[in-house]
Amino acid sequence: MKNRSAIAAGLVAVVIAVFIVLLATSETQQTGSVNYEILGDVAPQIAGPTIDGDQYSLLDERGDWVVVNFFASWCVGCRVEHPELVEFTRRHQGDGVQLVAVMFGDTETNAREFFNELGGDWPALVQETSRIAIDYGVTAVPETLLISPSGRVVYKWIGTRGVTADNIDALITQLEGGG
Amino acid sequence: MAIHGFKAQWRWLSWVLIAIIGVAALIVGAAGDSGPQSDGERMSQLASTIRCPQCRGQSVAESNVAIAREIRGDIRARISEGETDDEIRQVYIERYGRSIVLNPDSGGFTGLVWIVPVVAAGMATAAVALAFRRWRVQADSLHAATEEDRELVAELRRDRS
Repeated sequence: MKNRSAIAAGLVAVVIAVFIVLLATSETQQTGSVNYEILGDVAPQIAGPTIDGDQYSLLDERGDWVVVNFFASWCVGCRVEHPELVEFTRRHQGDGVQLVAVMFGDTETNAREFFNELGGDWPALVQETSRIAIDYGVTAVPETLLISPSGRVVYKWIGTRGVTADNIDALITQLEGGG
Repeated sequence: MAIHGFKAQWRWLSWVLIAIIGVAALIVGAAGDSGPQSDGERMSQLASTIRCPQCRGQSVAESNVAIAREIRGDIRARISEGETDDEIRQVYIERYGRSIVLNPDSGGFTGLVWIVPVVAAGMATAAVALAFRRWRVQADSLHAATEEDRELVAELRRDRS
């Protein structure tokens, strides 16, 4: 009788232990807009018509550093960081460092107004960009990524924090030096 | 004696009946809605299993933030392009990590989440059934007259007469 009780208690203990181990080792549900899954991966293709009517393809930029900025006209952070991106492109004219913008959750008309109002002459993709944003694991705008000349995603800024011309330049310099 | 046998048979029959009804209900529940689905139904069902990456505890079907709207539109597009549900889920797992799927995996170590409760419930049912049987045997043995009881009664009768 005592043996049976001990066996039953042991079985209950095993079941509880399995649950505890399961909960302790399972992946925690992520909340908030933090997703760095793409870091180190080959950059997904970005292709389509730009706001100026040209055709853009990320493959054409292979060999250059490419900064990819996901933006929306309704996004306050995008407006805050935009002058830094203008400054960044002013510094890099034909030196192998590119910037491309991809609209997220917005309309083409609003995106055009956004660029008309705040300036910026870099290619901006504004048509059917949902697939591109999902390919890059975007959760909210602004998000900015740095793609190396070999075509891999090497850095990701979530929000406006750190997205300045100086910071992006410093990172590229550091990575070029193998640091 | 015949009545007791009939009762025992009826008890077993009722248990079998309950088991049949339970299994039938499970089969109907699992396969009842497996008919052809429209693309819209597939989209809603898939969206309800994908976690909104920007939200707390909401699926993309429930949330109206930008990324949830984008993912819903993307699911719709992928369905029309002929991708299967598993292929679509896999895309989001690759982009956002395994936690993007609200249902735990049915395989591997995580599959224990599904198996352990079923096994535990089965073990508990078996334990209760065994306990009931043991209590009944003990109760029957308490009520049954032993040889000593019979001798005692016979002795008392002899004394009286």
